[in-house]
Amino acid sequence: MSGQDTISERPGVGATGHWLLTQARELVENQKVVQVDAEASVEEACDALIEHGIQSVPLYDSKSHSYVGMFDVHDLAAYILARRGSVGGRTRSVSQSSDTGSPLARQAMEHLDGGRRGSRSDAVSRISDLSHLNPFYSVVPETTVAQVAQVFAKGAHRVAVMESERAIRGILSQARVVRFFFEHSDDATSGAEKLLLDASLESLRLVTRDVVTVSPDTPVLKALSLLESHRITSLPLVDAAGCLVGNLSLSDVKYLARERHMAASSCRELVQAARYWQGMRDGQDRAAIFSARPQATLRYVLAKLIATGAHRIWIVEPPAGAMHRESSGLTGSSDNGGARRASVSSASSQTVPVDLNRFAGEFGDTVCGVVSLTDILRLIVDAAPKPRADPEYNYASMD
Amino acid sequence: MKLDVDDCIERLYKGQVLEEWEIIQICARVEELFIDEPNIVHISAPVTVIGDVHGQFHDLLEIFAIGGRVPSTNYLFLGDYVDRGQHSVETISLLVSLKLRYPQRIHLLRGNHESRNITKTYGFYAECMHKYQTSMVWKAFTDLFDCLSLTVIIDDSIFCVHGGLSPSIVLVDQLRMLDRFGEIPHEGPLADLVWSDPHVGTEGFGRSPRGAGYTFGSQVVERFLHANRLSHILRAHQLCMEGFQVLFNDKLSTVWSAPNYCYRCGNVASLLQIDPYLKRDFITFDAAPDP
Repeated sequence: MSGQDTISERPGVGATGHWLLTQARELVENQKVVQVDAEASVEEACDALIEHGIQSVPLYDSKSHSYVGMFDVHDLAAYILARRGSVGGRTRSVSQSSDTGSPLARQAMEHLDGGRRGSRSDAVSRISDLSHLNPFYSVVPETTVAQVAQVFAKGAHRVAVMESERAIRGILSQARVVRFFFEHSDDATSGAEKLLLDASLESLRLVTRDVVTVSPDTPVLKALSLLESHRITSLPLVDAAGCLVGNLSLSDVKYLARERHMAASSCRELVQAARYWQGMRDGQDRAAIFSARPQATLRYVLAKLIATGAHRIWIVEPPAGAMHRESSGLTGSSDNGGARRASVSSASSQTVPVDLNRFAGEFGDTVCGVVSLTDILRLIVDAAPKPRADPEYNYASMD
Repeated sequence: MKLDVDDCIERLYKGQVLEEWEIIQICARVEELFIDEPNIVHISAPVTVIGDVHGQFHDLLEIFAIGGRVPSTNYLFLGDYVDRGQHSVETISLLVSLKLRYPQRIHLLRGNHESRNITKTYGFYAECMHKYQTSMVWKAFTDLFDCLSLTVIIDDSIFCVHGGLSPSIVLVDQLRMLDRFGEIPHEGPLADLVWSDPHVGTEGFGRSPRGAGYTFGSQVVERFLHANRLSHILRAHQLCMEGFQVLFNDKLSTVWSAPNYCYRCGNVASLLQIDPYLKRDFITFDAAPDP
């Protein structure tokens, strides 16, 4: 299968069908939709996110028997930023919170104050549309993955596959679509897409060296403002030398509902709390950093993202001028009879060529780019063959 | 100041932390011991094998109460001494002091938590700073961790490691050639040994959801045991609600020794007694009552 310009009209995946023609319904089959009552508290909604390991949840209004919105970590972040001046549930008036400096936060404050005053805990439905960074997209079960992928390539993280106006068949996420692509990359993709998988991150122009970073001691609230103002969903934590030491995701914010006092803490402390809860829930701890070198292939990165469920991986490179230890593979040295390795000195002027077979980042590397699920979907959509113009495919309906 | 190891051990059994200078001296001397140990340490049964302890010091004392103290009982610890629990300092201090005093009676393997980056995230660094106000103790321990051995083989039959197997290591001999000294890298055989997990239903090796190491299935285990003429794999690294888990037709066991993990998981823990005939016997226990 190579050099095709257009894809077969036959739906479904198989020896001759292209993966993009699969219908959304197939990717959400057997999904048990988690939902939260619209009148539940913010804490209860966050508990649902944590318990099910998800980033967003539809809110169901039992009175009108309909879905009234989605609550996700963007909304939660906006809510926390808006309340940053308040203590113990009391809200401050808008004029006092001008130190937030954020138009979104001020807007959010007004929105919150508009309803009531002094209640201890807000109902989650009241904050479910606080953030504008996460418009709610819905599709029908027959919508093709091609159409959904276009939306994802522009940054949406998920769409709701609606059975009817009042019933959600499932939530289709970027991660699910990327995994589907990867699983069928051998039998149901074009030559261009296969080439894409073997391209290096560098050749795909992902090494931008233009990444917003914070130090581990940066206050959480400052980090949240940065996430909002740059419209990004995570920040690498780097030490004084610029080395990557950790990662703060927007999704870590959901643990703030459990540990309210942490809103005043540093990024390092929030990340520690998030990993603590995560490891307990999973019964196993995770590596602290997911990273890859510029020469890593997209295939390598995809495999890692899919296995770990992460939404992005940092691209890292060894700091300039540092000496490197040979890769810890089979060095052929004799049985270690007391030879303690020489310590690595970053002040050394000697350089050793970097091992080009090494795809994983190492401790001491600095951040030079990022690969997110959005980036991957954008690349896939660009590489995939374009469907023939067909009156049946109504692309305008996506808006 | 002259180090009195017996006195240190006595104080540690009472739950007292050692002075900074004592820890630094003990670590320096134990480092020499570890450096002399090969990548694969061969020991004999009988031995009692312990899984993750994670700073749960009072449960460590419970282990010694059930299994007997060093040196009357031989012990093999599979790693993850620190992080998450509130008494990582006391836990690792006691274990390395016992190693110094009775080097042949207690063996310590490296777990994925015996690492600078992980201990900065999961609590050991913070605890050291809190108890000693400087990072010297953390530095002494993490430098020592760099020298910990990775695997043990009991009576040429039972292969012991913290996490699991590596696609790079088909024959145990390949382990001998690795340079294990230093921080655990993100990838490669050293990382795999401390991060991998068995997984029922996985064919061959799969990418791990942890972001390091691999998942591996029964075929991999059988091939490894057969090629190396071993009978069983013992490992830790994963929480077991019942304290232990036996997989793949009794070819692999997970031992977990931190009861009521993080003081809230409600799980039971176990210690594994291996008798001179290599018979394996799990003894389960609950969390020690609050002191």
